[in-house]
Amino acid sequence: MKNRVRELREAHGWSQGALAEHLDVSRQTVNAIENGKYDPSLPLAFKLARLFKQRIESMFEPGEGR
Amino acid sequence: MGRMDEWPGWRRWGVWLLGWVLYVGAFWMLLAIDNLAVRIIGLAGVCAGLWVLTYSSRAVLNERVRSIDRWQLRVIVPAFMVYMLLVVFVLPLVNGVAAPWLKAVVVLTPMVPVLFIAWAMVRYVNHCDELERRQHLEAAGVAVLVVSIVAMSLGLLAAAKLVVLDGALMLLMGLPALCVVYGLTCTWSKWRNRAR
Repeated sequence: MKNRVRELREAHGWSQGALAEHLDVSRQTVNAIENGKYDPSLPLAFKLARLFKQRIESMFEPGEGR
Repeated sequence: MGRMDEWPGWRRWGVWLLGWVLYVGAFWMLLAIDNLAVRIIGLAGVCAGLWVLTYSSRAVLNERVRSIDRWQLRVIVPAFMVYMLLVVFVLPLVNGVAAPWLKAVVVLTPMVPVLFIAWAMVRYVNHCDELERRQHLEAAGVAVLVVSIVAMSLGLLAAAKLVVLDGALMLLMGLPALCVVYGLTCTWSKWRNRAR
């Protein structure tokens, strides 16, 4: 799955650690999502979409992730 | 000083290494030196080592310590202290006990803190995030597979009388072997996702 998490995080000026705190997950989880090594669950994907005020389909799209 | 995860890399890794030196050194003092004062210092050192390792293991991966880590530390360190006290001071008393039922009670006493630690580990994993839970599940699977294959291979060799094994020792080594493989697999899994 391809995603825009890194782009949106950087646009907000947040570090991976700061985003991890907002989502209540570990920094390595944010890192793995950004690098396409891990596809988040639906609840976490919705949490990301709400945090960045985006539609979920504009943040994630099918494609080669890993 | 600031938060440990914001320290420069050399300092975070230095504290992590120091934690391991403290932990292993104190463990050696506790088990190898037959002197009460040294053993008490060793026990305190093991607990301090666990504390330093919990904080520094997160920090070397640029992670801050979370509330569940602090809870685990508050629960597991006292339980581990009780376990070590029982193994070092209570278990040797078994030779002076005649009644089989009392002997069984004395020998099985260390299982109480072990069960408590197992419960704390389950609670810890349940409070991890989804990627960490997957890593723990994978690590548990790898540990079971590796230990089962090694145990079965040794069993076949022993059945063919090619090696002589102490059955009691082999059974005792089961849980530590699972923990070591589990820990190494977890560490490798976290290491893969360390980069920013």
